[in-house]
Amino acid sequence: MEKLEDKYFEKLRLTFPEKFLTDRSIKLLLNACPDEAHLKVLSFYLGHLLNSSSMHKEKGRLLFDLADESYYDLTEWIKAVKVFDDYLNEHKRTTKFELMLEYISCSCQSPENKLVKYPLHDLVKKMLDEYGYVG
Amino acid sequence: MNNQKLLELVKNRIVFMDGAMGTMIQRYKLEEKDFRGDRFLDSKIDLKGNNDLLSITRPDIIKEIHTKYLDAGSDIIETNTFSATKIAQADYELEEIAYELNVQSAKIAKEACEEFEKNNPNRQCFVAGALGPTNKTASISPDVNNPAFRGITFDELVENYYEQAKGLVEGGVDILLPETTFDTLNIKAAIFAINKLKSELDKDIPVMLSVTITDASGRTLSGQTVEAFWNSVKHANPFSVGINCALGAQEMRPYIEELSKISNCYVSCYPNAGLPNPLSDTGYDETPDQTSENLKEFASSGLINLVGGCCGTTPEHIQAIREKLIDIPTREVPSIEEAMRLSGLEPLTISNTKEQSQFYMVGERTNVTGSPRFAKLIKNGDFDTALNVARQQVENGANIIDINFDEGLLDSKACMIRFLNLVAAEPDICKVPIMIDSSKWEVLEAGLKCVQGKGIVNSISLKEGEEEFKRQATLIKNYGAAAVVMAFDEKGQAATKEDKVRICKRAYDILVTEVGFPATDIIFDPNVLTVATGIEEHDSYAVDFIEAVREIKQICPGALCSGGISNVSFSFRGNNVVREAMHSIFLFHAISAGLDMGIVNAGMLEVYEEIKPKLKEKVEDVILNRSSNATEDLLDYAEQFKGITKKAREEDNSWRETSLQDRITHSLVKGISKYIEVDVEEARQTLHEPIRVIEGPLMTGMKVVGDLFGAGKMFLPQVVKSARVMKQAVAYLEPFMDKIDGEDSNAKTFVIATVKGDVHDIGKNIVAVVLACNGYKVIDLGVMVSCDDIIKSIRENNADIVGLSGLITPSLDEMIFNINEFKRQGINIPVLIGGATTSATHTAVKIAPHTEAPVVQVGDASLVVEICNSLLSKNLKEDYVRELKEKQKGLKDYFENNKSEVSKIETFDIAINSAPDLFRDYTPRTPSFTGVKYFYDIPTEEIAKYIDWSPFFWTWELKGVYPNILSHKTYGEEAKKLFADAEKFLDRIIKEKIFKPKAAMGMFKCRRVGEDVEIFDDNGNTIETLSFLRQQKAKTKENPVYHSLADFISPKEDYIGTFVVTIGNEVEKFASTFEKINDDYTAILIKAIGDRLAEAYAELIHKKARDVFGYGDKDSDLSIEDLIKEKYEGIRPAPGYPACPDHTEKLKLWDLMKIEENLGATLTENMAMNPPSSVSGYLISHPKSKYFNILSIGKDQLESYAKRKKMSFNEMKKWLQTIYQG
Repeated sequence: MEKLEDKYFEKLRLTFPEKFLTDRSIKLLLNACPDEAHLKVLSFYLGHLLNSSSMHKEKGRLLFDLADESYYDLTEWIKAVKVFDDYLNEHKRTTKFELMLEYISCSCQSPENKLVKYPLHDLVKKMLDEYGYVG
Repeated sequence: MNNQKLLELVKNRIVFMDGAMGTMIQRYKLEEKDFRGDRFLDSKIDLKGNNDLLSITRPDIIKEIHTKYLDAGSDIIETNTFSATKIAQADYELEEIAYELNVQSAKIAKEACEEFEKNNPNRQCFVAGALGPTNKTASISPDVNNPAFRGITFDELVENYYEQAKGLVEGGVDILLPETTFDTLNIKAAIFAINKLKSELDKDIPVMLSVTITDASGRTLSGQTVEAFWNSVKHANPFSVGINCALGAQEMRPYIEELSKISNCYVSCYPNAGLPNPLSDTGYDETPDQTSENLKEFASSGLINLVGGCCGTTPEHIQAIREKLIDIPTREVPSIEEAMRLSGLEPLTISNTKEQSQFYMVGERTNVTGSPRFAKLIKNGDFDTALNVARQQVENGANIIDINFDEGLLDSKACMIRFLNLVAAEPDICKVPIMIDSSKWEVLEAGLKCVQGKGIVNSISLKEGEEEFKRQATLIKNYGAAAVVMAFDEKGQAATKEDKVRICKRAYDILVTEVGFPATDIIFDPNVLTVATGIEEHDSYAVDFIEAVREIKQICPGALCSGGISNVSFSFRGNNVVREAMHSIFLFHAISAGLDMGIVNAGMLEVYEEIKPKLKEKVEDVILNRSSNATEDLLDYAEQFKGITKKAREEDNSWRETSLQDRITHSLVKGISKYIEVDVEEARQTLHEPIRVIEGPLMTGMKVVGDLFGAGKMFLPQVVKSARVMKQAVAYLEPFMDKIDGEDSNAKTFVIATVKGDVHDIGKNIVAVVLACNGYKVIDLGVMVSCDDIIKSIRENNADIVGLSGLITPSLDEMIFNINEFKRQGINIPVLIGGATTSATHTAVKIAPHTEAPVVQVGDASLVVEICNSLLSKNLKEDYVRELKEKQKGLKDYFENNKSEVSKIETFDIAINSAPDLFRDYTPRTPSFTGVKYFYDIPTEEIAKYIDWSPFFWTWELKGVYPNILSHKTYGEEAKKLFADAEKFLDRIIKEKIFKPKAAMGMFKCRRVGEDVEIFDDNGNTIETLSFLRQQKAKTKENPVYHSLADFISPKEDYIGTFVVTIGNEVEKFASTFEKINDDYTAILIKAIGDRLAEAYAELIHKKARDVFGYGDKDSDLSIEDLIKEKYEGIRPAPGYPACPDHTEKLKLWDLMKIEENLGATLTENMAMNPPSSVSGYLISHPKSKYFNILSIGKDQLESYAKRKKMSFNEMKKWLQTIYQG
């Protein structure tokens, strides 16, 4: 099966300016995405993020920085983004990517996740089911 | 000439702009060398991505793109200057070429046009100089912890935009186009700069403005709606206004439609080709056909005059758009009704027509001259609470808020900037327009540079002559604000009607005819002056004002009238009943005469219809000057109302007239102790036996409390107060009872304790009170209770449930030990687990499997009654326990089968090698002493200034942040009461010197050795080695840093601070005096205050280290709130917390500073500090030091760490189990 990096690198490069995502960042994202469905969701939010501010450099780093300072790797974060997106679709809602990422980041620090660690996508699902999302 | 051509074109048909520049550049797949060219070969940083630079290094490509768009049908092409400002070029360290980029880019575009026109003589083309939004926002803080901070100022933006606009004009552009506006304050700076340039060049250059609506909320990134944005920028008198970027055409439609309706200039629209979508063929969602089809509908609906494309659009898109729209008539510019149009985040339109006019209230409480409370808060630097004052005004209905810092002791300009920046971060406040109020021009101007909305300047006047008046008015117009004009001239303040009218008319004529100030942006204040002063000539002041308003509204069309209403009643200060009536009556008549707005305290207004007839008559006599002795009459009549407060007027004792049960219930629910003994005695007389009083009316009342609490209609502090009243009632009955124990023979028994090694008990005490309130017999064993003692108590009391509490992580192991012992000794009763580190998941996975008995984690005191009732109910128990166990088993199975992939960690060697050198250009700070200093005399009053109150409310399960929580819609009322009680007791603690706070601060010479820090005495002997950990969890960054606190200490010579503070055993002692009299509420309150004081003392000690002992930058200008938000240099990490999670390092602090001997504080075997109100930690001064989370460590690091600490691997693993990823 063709690797996501081989299939989509050029397209992502064409779509997202260098300032927003470097070549290395694009490769990291493509290698971290479990499948095309996850890439589709992630691309949608990255597209929104790109369009929502001129501060491309800072915005493009947001997902990476949050992942780096959490217990979880990029794949876990991308899976959590997909779970969040499913929740929004189910509730016919939308949100800003920054707010979604902040919610995921807060979930990582939940007391429930302090001593035993959930897989991030399950943790986010649990948080959304228990507390909802008002952003 | 070109202006005229452009006007003719736009009148005749829809004008076509170009599409995306960035998207086209991406297609060329340029490399770093293309961006560098020959000229920038030596750049130290990568230049790839700096598209604007291509105007210099690859002008051929830029010109080719322009030509492609012209060929596709663009009438207007944009210069390649989106980021050609010094601000944006700073990312590439190319600030010095910003001006050149603009000139060069404009020339390229112009050349492209000229060549195209030569080949296509039937086409006229124009160049729009693009001014991007920059990568900084003037009204949003880039620092989430510091909302008053700004990454860029208005003046810096003006300077940048001026340079850019000048370069573009020099290069030959026909139009200036500030676009992609995310923050209206940025574009206001661009407008200001363009106006300055136009004025200097004496040249009319058409200006197109374009805003970006970021998402479906219909707002800009800085929060404004479309109409609010238009009101903010209308003063630019633009050629066109429009929307671009962020959205595709379809999503943009409602906002274009709105803009089309409200704007009286041409409307442009250049959307994205949908959203970026790398999975589509074009990289964006929409094909040329789709985008053009969407825009065709816009044109057919008469919404647009100019159209083009933004991100993702190409010449193919433009060609398709032109083909479909060229024959559709252009939008007709509508005529818009004249009105004052202001804005905050939302618009406010004040119509001047009689039919639509209404009265608008300007909130006056954020004015230091009118509100002593606000003044006190500002003087104390408590801007957070001051913000609350602003919020309350908006909530109370103020349409505009007046903000004033004119006070001799204040730096009014600095206060204005800071407060307005803070307000900008509060959408519920800054949704309304701001009235910037000062008598100093520099303060007014500073304020104008902070507000993105269209605000009002309060005020200007002719006091300093016509020239200054015109200068100020011109600037206000350029900043885009309305102005209050006082009836004041060179001779002074107008007092009579004639003078008021004369001065206002003179000012009006100057403003409208000479300055070009819009009449609808003028608000006259004909001076509300005080009546009933006893001086005869003052008697007509109110009626003069009213009549002046009537006439000004007639002879100054478009202008509005306002006034400071409370001035009228100053002579009755201290008599609020009369003052409120005066305000209402004065307003009633002034509004009838045409008054449009007023600076009013909404809380100081009586409802006109509810004023007592006699008072109304007397006040009206004064206001309307109806009789010569009106003042005397009102003064006599007003005597009876003196000193009557609103609270007194509102006090309601009607509940005392209800039935005995209702009275008892009322006292319990409301926590009122005043009447409970009287009512209980009445019940005892009726029911004869005290036990029947307890089991009857008192328990009935407590059931109501329990029900309300369970339904979320009462909050924890209220329940604890109810318990206090209940205990008081029982205590009253005790002497009449033969045997107290008989009172509730059927009650279930609950044994509760904080486990061995832990001393924290606030949460445990709250649970105990809540259960006692609900009929449980609670045996509270206190803190540091051994397992043996807990088992003994369970047996002696035949307990039904046992509760184990603990705050620190090691207590979790102690709980597991207890549970194993319960099992071993045959105790099978349900166990409740509680405390900050516990969780339902951890309980299910790690604790519950040790026993067959039900083990339930209680995360919230409000749940405990339901849990206990379910565990003990004959009917519910079986199902409840079955469900609990199923849930816990499910969680356990889940974790066994779904291990989180958190263990991707770097080797310790790689992590070590990532350590940054933070000392290459930095010399460590040298404190003014080494050794240890002890502090025994710092008064509690001094410490209390540094309290961060938010966690105090969290203790009581009131969720929110101080001071906002005081006005929270759900918790606000209870939070206020709780806070008042806390302040009362804190005051007593301070006055009576009840607490004896003590502290130790160590300053030691040291050096870093790997992840250790060696501590030396003054002779250079190593006296201790502090051990730190390093992050190991793998990161995505190219050159990641795996942090360790040790990195902030120099490997050569440095200093580290250490500290321990304690509020002392007096906290527990003082609290126990209330426990003894059954007042758990106050006891818990005092312990919570003790905890807050300990944290505050740590803050104070850290400040002293910086300010007094030279260990850090002096930060005397930082307010308390800034200190709480840690806006200083340096950090204060504590062992046991995320950056240094090893609790055992506390032992070294204790040894180094001889804490037990000097402060009397000890460490338990689990490293809990005793007394509980204590804090310990390190002080690190490196300016780049920061807090972080170690996250996870591997076996390699744990082995190394254990070896360094001379502890066994297993012992170390026990202490670091939460981060160990073995």
